[in-house]
Amino acid sequence: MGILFTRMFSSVFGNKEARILVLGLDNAGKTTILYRLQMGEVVSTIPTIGFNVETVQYNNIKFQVWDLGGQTSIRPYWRCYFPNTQAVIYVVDSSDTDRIGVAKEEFHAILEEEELKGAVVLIFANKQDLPGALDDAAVTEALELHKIKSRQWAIFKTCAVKGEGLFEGLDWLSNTLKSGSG
Amino acid sequence: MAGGGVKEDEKNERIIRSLLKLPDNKRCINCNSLGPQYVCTTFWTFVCTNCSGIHREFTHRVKSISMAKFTSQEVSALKEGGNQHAKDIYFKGLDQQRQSAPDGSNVERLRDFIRQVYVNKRYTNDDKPPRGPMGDNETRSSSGSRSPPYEDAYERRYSDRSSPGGMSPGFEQGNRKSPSRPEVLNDWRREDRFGGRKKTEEESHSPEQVKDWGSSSPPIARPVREILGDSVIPLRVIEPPKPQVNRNSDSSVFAKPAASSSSLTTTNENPPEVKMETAMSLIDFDADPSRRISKNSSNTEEK
Repeated sequence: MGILFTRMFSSVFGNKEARILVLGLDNAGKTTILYRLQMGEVVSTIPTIGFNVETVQYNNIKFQVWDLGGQTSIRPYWRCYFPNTQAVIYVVDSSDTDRIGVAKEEFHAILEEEELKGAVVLIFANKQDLPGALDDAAVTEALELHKIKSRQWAIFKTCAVKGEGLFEGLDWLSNTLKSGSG
Repeated sequence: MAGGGVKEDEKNERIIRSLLKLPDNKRCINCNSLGPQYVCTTFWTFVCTNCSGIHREFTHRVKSISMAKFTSQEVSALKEGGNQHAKDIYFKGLDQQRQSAPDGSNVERLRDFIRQVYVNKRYTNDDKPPRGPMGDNETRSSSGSRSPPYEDAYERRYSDRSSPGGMSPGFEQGNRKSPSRPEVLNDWRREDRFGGRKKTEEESHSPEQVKDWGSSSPPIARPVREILGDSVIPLRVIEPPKPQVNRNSDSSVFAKPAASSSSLTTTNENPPEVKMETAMSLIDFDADPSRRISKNSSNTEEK
């Protein structure tokens, strides 16, 4: 009851909360993105075993951002976090062309998930600063984003270490979530 | 892509575990700490968690021994390689009596060490001029005609790289909504690569830039990645960028060094605790799995 009241209250005053998952292959830059968003800094990271979670307040939305480890053997645990997720940020290492196919498969497996069928999807084509990085068009192609049906999505070129593209992505996310689907 | 099935995976893991028993593989090749848990697949070495993180900063690839799957090719590469083998190459000129491996708890020193050993390849070969292995990369990427071997070229590129050259305005256009078909729109990266480092001039939404987009070419698959990749790390921005970089508005990059050097170690340690609490209070439906996983996490955290 109290919770309900709080929800109504905050929806009247435009304070939304959103639960966001940050997913992607290992070494895509998920943790760097999380802390770049949260603290505005580039932190030194180690491979995430488990998860990191932080809240990021942006555009009147309180994002609860879950960054889950991406190593092969722990990807199955992603599903533990799927329920009640409004959005998925899928991070791709655009310079890792060797594994872009794997990235595609994992991505489409996520889209298949029943529990995520209401979630909007934001793709970060990360590491744009690296030589040989695929641009957003190429990543769109490689991930076969045009196959996405009945779901809102967007792709942004990002460079987490320089902080480029991240907040543009969050802008899109907050607008999309505000305009209803969230 | 899942590899050759469970049997295969198990076999591969067994082989890796047995490789870990070789004297040189028992310790992290860089900081000598006991029981490495990661493989750096760029150099086929066994490294500890901290060093794996630092290797990643230099765009070297790492894989967790227990949390990732290895293909048979990777396993055989690892058999061929390993710490002994890598030492023969990268530590050759290193006087291991005098210059001992840095202590694993000092991230700054470790980073510097890893940079010297693998990026600048300072100790690969005594007879060659110091520029040796870096030389080719050098000429290709930046105008590597300066003689002072590594540091300078490195720093130069580093400052280039890290200069917040401000293509961020352009990113607005990079945004695409669902239905639209992507048009190709980046030339900036190529400029970036081929030396046009004048981002700042064209920075704000210059119309010329927009025109350029039409003429761009398909993304270059991965030309110099291996080579250049090694030298690209600098943008990690750990040391203060050169002063002239400062003109840009992205002050966070610049403000970083001071904060980061002190926070480096703490960022590695603090978040997990904080997170565990948050995890429990914020969520209950999956309390179990998260707690289990986060316990793992704190395990790997300890050195």
